Amino acid sequence: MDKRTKFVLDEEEIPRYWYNIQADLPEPLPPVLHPGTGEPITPDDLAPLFPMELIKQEVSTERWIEVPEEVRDIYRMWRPTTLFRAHRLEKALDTPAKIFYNYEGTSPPGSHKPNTAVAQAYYNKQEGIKRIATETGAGQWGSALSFGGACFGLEIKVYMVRISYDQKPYRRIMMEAWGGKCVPSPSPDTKAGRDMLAKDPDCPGSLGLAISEAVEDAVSRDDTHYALGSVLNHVLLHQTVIGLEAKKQMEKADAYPDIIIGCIGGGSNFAGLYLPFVKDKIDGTKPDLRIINVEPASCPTVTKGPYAYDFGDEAGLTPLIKMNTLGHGFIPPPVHAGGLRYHGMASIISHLHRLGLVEARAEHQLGTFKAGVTFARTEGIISAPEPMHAIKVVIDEALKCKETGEAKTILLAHSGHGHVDMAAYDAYFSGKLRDYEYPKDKIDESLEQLPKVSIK
Amino acid sequence: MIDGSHDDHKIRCPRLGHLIPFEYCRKMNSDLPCPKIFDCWHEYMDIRSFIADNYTPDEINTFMEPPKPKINHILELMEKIKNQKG
Repeated sequence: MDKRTKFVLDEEEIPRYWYNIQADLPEPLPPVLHPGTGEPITPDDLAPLFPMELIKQEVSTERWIEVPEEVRDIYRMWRPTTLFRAHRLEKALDTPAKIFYNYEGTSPPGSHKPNTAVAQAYYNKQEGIKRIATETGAGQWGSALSFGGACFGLEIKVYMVRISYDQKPYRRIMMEAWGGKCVPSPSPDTKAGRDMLAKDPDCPGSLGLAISEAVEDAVSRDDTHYALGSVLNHVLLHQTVIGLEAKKQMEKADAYPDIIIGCIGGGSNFAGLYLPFVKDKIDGTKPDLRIINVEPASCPTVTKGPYAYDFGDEAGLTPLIKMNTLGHGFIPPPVHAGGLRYHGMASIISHLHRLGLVEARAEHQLGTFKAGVTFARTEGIISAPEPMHAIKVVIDEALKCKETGEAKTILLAHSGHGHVDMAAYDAYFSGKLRDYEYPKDKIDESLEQLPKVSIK
Repeated sequence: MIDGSHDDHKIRCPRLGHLIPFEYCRKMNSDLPCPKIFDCWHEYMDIRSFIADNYTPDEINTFMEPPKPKINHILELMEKIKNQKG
């Protein structure tokens, strides 16, 4: 048996180019339309917020975009990340499947986010920008950008949703350790924040409000730009260092994945891993490669679209019908399935899903925690809750292999550790995540009352 | 008076990335619920009845206003701020 566990590249093998999937898409991405004019946005529209090099990357169709040497030098601090063979998990599952995982938790902030935070800080520095404003929820992006700012001597201002600021102090402290300035949103520092505080001094904040504050901050000062840690094309571009390294490492393992599995929130980590592999699927080299995006069942964005709006699914029981049962003669707003389905999701991922190049699957919370604990007890890594979703599907696929006897090769995108998510583990271990589960018979009873409608 | 009996129940918020009490989900949108409240809570409580019992149709229409794609939201914010300044 091959006991080799780690597949490691030399620092000199850190990619010199990012891979741009836009060069190889069978159909180009639909353009982003300006809300004011209805016309496709231009670089000038984005110039108040982003450096021109990032704007160029956003719309570029060049296949390879050079990684600046200054960025590669920072990447050396933790890259190349390691590809692991999960021998112990395989043994515990008694599966013939070969499971590999790329682990991004070894970066200073503990996730994949600095792959783009460092690059964004660099391009802003090059353009003479002194400050970057951004928003953050639990703080993963805010801490990564604070780290990126520290690398290039930029001031970072983070508007952190107040409820997260109060409940998740450790990420905030990490930001401060790297010199970032983190304030709870709503804050008195912007008009948007002041207006909200005047209306409700105890407002717990929201991501929407934090974005408003960060954008206002950036637009109001000539020395300041704005940064996003997901969704945009240039963010996914920077993350392709993950997949480019993983491809070389898989070659060292003399393997190629049959299935690639990862979690998607905004989608940047997983896309970073799989985009260089999608290229093989598009050009016909690996037509049978399966790529599975995994997301929370409670809040699907790709698998179903938002539960409350989406009535276009083939399942038959549609949320539209559910909304109609709300009473009051309530009629839901006109539909938004197209636009809403992918709100918050990177357009590249949505596009690949529409083209049938990637699949999506939704997983429930408790099952993902169980999988995460299995992973911790076999592979040793305490995962953040996001990659637990992917681990759950990896385990399911490996167990299918056990049934069929197939020795498939599975590659997992592991986005980071859960060392600042221990409260979630505590809630799981103490049974609190179970306590509030709505009784299944009540759900069934409720569903029984709904008219069953097939929509094609 | 809105029913607060579920307020302490917590689940993981997929947008913020940590455990959040139901009270936040029903108040975070200027005292109206998060647009994703049905998505996130339907497995844990009868959210449909909760909303029907506690909000008017106008309020429901308001908070169900669909969120815009992030980049469009940001561009709209920029326009708004420029207009305020100009």
